[in-house]
Amino acid sequence: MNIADIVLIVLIAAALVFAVRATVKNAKSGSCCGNCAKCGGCSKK
Amino acid sequence: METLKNIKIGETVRVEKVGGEGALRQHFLDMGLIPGAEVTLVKYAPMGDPMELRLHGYELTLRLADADEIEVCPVTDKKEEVREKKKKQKTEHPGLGEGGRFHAKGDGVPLEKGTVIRFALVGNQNCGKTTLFNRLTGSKQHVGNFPGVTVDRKDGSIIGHDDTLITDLPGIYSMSPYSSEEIVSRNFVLNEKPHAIINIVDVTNIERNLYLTMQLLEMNIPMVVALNMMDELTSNGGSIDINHMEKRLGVPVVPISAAKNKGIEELVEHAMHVAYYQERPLRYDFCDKTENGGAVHRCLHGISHLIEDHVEAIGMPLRFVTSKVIEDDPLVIEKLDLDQNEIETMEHIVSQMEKERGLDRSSAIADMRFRFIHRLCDDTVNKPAESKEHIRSRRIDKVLTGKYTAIPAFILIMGLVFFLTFNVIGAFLQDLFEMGVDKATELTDKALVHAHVNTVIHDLVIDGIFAGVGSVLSFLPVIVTLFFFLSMLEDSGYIARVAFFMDKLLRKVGLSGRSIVPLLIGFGCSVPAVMSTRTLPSERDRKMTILLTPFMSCTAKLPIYAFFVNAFFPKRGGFIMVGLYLLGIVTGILAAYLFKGTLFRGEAVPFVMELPNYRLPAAKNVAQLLWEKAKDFLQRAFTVILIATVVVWFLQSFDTHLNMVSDAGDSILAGIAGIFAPVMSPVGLGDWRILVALISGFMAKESVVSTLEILYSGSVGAAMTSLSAGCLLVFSLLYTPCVAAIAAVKRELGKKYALAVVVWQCGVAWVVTLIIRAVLIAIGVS
Repeated sequence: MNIADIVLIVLIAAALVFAVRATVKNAKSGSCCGNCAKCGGCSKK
Repeated sequence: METLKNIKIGETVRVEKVGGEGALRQHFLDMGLIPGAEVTLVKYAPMGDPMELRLHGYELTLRLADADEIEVCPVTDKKEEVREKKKKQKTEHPGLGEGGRFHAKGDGVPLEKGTVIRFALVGNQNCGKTTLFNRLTGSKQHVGNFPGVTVDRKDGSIIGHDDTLITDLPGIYSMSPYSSEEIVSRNFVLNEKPHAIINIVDVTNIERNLYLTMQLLEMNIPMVVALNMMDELTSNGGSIDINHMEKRLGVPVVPISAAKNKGIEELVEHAMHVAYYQERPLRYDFCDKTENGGAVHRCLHGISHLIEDHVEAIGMPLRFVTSKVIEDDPLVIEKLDLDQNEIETMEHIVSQMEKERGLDRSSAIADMRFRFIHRLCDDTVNKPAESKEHIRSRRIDKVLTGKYTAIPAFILIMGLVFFLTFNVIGAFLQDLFEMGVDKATELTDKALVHAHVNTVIHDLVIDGIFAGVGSVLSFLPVIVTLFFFLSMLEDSGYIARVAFFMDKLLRKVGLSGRSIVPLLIGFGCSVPAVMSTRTLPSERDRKMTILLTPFMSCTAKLPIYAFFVNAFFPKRGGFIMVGLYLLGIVTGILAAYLFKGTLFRGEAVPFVMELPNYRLPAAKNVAQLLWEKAKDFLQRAFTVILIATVVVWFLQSFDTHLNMVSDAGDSILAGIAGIFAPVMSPVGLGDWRILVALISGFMAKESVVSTLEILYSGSVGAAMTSLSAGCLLVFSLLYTPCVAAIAAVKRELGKKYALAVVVWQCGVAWVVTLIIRAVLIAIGVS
């Protein structure tokens, strides 16, 4: 394993952590599809 | 006695009596269907029901059954003639809401320095509220929810005034409790006590819009009236004596055009002034003591004095409460906690008023307000006979809502939308995107080889992440294009027409025409479709519509259809795409019949809806909407789909001992899916890889394709048969919506319904796929 491997592992891990956090937050609040006129959006401010 | 149901097209009649009861009847009155109002029948919907009526200068739809409750008599000369241009009498500028010479030192009760000034933006639907809100706040908005109810809430601060918070309340016609929006707006004003109200009024429908204005004035909160669409009025030869109107209403009146960004600065200045100095309306008493013997005037003032101690105790505006009490508003009466003697006294006073006035109480109050409005408009408004916009709308409607042309036009328009999306604009942009993704993959691959990256990690990045996420990203142009067309159709006013002529059809399945809006939006995405059911006034209709939206094939499924159609049915692509959409609709109709006879017995909500003039949607609004949609799609691609891709890659690359496998059939994933495969075998989807892809589709539909690509190592076309591809298409069409949609259902209807949707949709998908599979085998597909 070289430095490039380590960098990639760190980046992928960070991306996954961010993705999981965002997904859990969206799933809890009903998810925002971006259509503000029709969607209630996040219930958490 | 003749009723509104029996009049002929083009005939004008005068309303004699408004039947019906409860909140619906109050809604009729609030929309202007009051005794004495003149109503013209414009047309019937293509299927004969509902009818389109013209009154107070705007169009309203009404079902025949509801129209039968309204007694009418013929008129020979219409009131709605062009009035001769009145001789202009110069009215001195009252200067309400202004500083300088109009504001003496010491006037008003200024707020403390540093207070965040809170505004409520209130107005009818279709009055340009969203456009004004966007102008005032720009991108500094936050979308949320009113607590306890499923109604939208948007907050933002006014550009250039960080110490402000403006809340966009739902579009409403009155402060009566007909719908949850009206209750929410009322409660917001009464409970959250904004420092000021900005009431936006559409001057092209000024009489109906001012009805809400009058109720807002009764709340005795500092207020500014923004007369919107002034450009349309003046370009048609109309005008408004602003000074005179300001003097009569007792609040600042500011002419604006939100679409053309005119008058906004002046509006903000006035709003800030009245809010800061807490300058309340100079009048809220609009009853005339000389009119009809002063019956309504005496009733209002008599009851005011009777209940003023109770009103003070609950901290509500006296005049507002008085009129609501007379209208028998149950929410207000309950709060007052009157004793029996007071209730009886009130009843006597109101009965006396009804006897003297010759109208029931609600009609009398509505009539009082409209009389004031008519006098005000007679004196201050020069209306053109018919605006260019209305003439244009009538001409367009001859085709788009014509008896024999409405439905063909609808099919043509929707067909054109889908053709442009999938075959022209969307397809062209998609090819460009795909080229970009391929190039990025190639460059990354070279870079990883050059850096001597470990093969496992290389595999994850290129065959996992790039293949998975990349295959989905290329569908962004198609999805954005479809959303563009759907929002253009809605913002232009066409979707309201679709609701009008689809009402009779939708009633057959137990819904009202309004439900067409969420169902059409469902073709874009189920999440806003579910959210938009909030505009339906009936809980029953809302639940049923939500349960039907999964049958409207959303854009996220497009990658699945496009992929399999290109791989297995290239010559019949269009036919199969259309067939899939129709299958979804037909299955939805069958489900609706089932719901109608079981879970949702009963009639659909009454259909009372305004038909606005056709308008070109504001480019900025549409652009903002599309940007938000694209942003959301990209966010999902780099969150949910990324997770699904990495998880699938891991589970299919390693066995239970965490050793890399050379054959995916030995992987953890194969083991898990193998447990459920027998359930899916009868429907031709017993392959564990297909099952895994379908499970990943629960996260995001777009990931079905990316998962299949990974699991079949890029050779899906060779590994599957046409029969199994066909079965997969049907199952994907109908099975559970994605987790985002289920979460939206959970938020609207609760956990039980959310779980029920998952199970129900999977069950329906299984059954229908079984049937379709038998049909495909019978016609020789293998």
